[in-house]
Amino acid sequence: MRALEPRNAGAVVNRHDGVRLHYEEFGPADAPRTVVLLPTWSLVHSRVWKMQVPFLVQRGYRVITFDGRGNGLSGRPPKGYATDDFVRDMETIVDHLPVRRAVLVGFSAGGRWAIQFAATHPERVDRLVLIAPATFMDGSPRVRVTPFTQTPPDRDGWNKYNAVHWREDYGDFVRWFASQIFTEPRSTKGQDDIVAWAASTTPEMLIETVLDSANPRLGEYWRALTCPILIVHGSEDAVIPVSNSRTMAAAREPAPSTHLVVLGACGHAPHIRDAVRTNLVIAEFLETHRPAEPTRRLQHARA
Amino acid sequence: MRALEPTLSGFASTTGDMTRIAFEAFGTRDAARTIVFSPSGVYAHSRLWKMQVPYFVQQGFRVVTYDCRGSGRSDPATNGFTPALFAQDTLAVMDELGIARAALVGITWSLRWLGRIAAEHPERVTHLVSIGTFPGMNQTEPYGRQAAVERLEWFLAPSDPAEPITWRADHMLHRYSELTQWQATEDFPEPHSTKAREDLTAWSRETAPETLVASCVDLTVADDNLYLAQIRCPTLILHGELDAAIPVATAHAVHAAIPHSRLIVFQGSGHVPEVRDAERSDLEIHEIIDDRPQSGTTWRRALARREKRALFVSSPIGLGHSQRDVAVARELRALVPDLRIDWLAQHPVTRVLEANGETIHPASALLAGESPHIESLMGAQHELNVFQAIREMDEILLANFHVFHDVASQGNYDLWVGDEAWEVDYYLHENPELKTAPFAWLTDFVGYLPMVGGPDGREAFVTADYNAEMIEQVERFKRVRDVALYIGDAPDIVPDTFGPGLPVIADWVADNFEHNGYIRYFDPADLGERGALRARFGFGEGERVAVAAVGGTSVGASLLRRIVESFPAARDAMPDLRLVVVCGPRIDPASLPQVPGVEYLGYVHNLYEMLAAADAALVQGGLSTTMELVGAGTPFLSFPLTNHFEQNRHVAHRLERYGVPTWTKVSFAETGGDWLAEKLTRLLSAPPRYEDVSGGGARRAAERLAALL
Repeated sequence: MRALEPRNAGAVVNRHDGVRLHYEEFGPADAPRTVVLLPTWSLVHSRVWKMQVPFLVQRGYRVITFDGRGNGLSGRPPKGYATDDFVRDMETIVDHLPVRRAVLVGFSAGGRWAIQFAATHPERVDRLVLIAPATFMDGSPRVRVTPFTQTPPDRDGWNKYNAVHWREDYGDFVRWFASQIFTEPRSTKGQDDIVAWAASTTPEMLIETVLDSANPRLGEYWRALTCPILIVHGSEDAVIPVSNSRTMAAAREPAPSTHLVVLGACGHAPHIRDAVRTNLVIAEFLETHRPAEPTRRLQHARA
Repeated sequence: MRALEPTLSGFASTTGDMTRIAFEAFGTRDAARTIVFSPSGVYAHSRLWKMQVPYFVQQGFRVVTYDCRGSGRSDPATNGFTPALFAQDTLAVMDELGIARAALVGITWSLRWLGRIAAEHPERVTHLVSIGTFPGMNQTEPYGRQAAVERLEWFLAPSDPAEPITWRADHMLHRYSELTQWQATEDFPEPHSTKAREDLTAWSRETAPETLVASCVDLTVADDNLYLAQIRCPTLILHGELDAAIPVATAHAVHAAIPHSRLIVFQGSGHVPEVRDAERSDLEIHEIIDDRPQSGTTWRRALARREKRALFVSSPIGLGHSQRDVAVARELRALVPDLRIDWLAQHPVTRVLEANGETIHPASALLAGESPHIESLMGAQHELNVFQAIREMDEILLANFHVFHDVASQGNYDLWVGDEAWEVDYYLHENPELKTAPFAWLTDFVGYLPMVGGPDGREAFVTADYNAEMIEQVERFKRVRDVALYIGDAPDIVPDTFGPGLPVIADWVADNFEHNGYIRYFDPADLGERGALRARFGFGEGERVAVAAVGGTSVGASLLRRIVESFPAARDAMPDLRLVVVCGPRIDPASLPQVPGVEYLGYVHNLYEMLAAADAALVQGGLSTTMELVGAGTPFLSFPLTNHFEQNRHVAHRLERYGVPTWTKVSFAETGGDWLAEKLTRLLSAPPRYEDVSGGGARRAAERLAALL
């Protein structure tokens, strides 16, 4: 059973391409603030936020989640996994529910949707929280089309991040990638969850997401944001190095409203593996007008 | 020497009357934020803020203090003492130092000028703090213009030299030394306040009595604008509940009048909490200036907390924890008479707590359901892999830890007790910086053991991984568990290791726990004469009564069904056999097959009495119920849930050492054909003799907890 069941759940269709989007709504409808926990890479679905939903509701927020296209109870179009598509999905959701203004929380690839949405709809974004954002200031995709689509020299390490390998041994890729998300010792539960959620999509859809992941205007959008921003990044992130978030924070200087919190000894999903601390950091950011220091490093208990 | 010397000191001149106002500035000029501290007038000068200045400079603020006209190093007042003049003086200091905006902090009378600045010059004030606040007589009920006049008349009237000293002109002018001493006692009613009183007495003696009288007259008659409702900045009203100078009701009225204000009442504190309870005052002021969210509305000073408080978190997985915890709580109250115990608990634990008159913390309602989760994972055939169920419960444990953390961080508890409260123990080890009270950990088993997949299977790997994490946590952060009690004795511990390459459980427990012995929550000797006990339940002489019971959840429904179905054959074998089925609160008796001769009951309070009266019992494999039966000497068959590592391994091992024959542990797979007739006949024809269960366990545990209090 879940820790908290949704108050409302349903589906709405993105009228641009007809893709069905399944959403869930938690906490009081008349809460003073709303948090939208965004989809991330279609490898997983909205249960990736299971450690945040009850906490945020307890603190009085209305919380919205929805499954990203390609996973969970949402539609699975053969094509159409660009940032523009995800941003239109967000528009569809917030117009439908409706959500006038919200805190956006994006994890990994979800950072791309969050940034583009916030830049193009500033009046609807209260604050922005990015966890280990997979966002590259030059707008480049994570990998180039070649070698991604060509047979890799071997099947070791990041050579598993390859379309050919996914088609041949998706399970191997998923298990390995889960181990890269959680580099912390004793993380079997987090890894097992990723593997289970990844079973709800197919390598073909994930290949589409990779081929569609460039976003040339990302840096421009990023610098244009005016809302307060929090970035949380684990120092031992093996998927997106923490240096990427440092570069992002630096790209906004001297804007005082960007705060980077580096969680020592944490991997790519601190909101799952170190949920208590991550939740407290997010709550402090949401409930404080002005965090005391722009950059802090928190040491993990294990480190 | 002072804790911190000023970086700049000097004088500011009010443009109106050229009175020079002495100020001191601390910290760097280029700090992003500034706080200006104002005295209350002439009675005490800027050293009143000595407990605030160094802290706020450390926190990165520029801090400014000044002496009011007529006191300290400032010029004497030649134009009297009106709130308007004091406001001008404050602004003159800010102008002189080039401070455009600042947080203004003041005590008592100073709200009249600081509040006025906030209302009339909102662009210059980021935050307002008023301590021991007094807004002027025409601002709030029950004061008014007429009251001010009457008060002035009283203040100036000649007094009888024999009357007790008080705050009036005659006493100021003729008995000043006595007055300042009396005032210091009035202002600091807190015990052990000699230093604060002597400081205040010394500072007030630097002011001439005539100046004090003149300022009192002026400030009493001065007409303030109705400025409170115009204040728009975040405002903190901080007031001591024991304030003898300004009653706390005034603070409530001011709070009601200022739109964006927050009131915090310090219980046990007097008129000058920023001196006597400086640390807490500094934190409260800092939080409001940082716009951090505020939850509490009161804080009680430490030595004013007479009763000690403990927070008990009792696992809802199984009812046994709650019963033994109630027994421990009872003993603990006997040892620590002023103890208040709050329980953070959920169904079905709350049922036991309510029956025992215990106090359930209201935040318990926020807990995510653990028992329903476990029940939802029950297999149809009396099966529950409880390790996997706990593992799948990660989000529930996390949500419940957050509830615990909120309750614990706001409740001023002197002790936290967790009886198999997995979320508390695990997340405190993951976040040791969140531990702010002694923590006592109780458990009756240590170590997850694999039930499926064999020694090389996934479950063996994962249970070992969980055990290894627990071992690493406990060994790295010994400070998390102040006391760790194993509810049992060394022989009760399974002979296993924690997993490949990991310690032998018994050895590790010996190093990291204290063996408390079993906690019995009733004494069989108290049940009285057996015949009378049987008569209470209507159990006759010529019959043999078997009682089947499955605890407080719906987990045992399939077992009850199987027992009921097998009853006719058993009665054919033993015509004097009678079967009573106790369904508990979660199983509807109507959902079971209705077999003639079987009696169905719902919830039975103190079920152990009925079990003690019975000739035989049929129960699940949980520790508490089986140990009740061992203690009562009632022969029983136990039916551990398939794949339940605790019941099949830990409990079964312990029962063996108490003389429970292994054949009386019945797996669900064995319950076919004439099994019930066969097993019951064997049980009743040669009832096993169980070892004694020693008492005193609750007392021993309570003694260890009391030592932490």
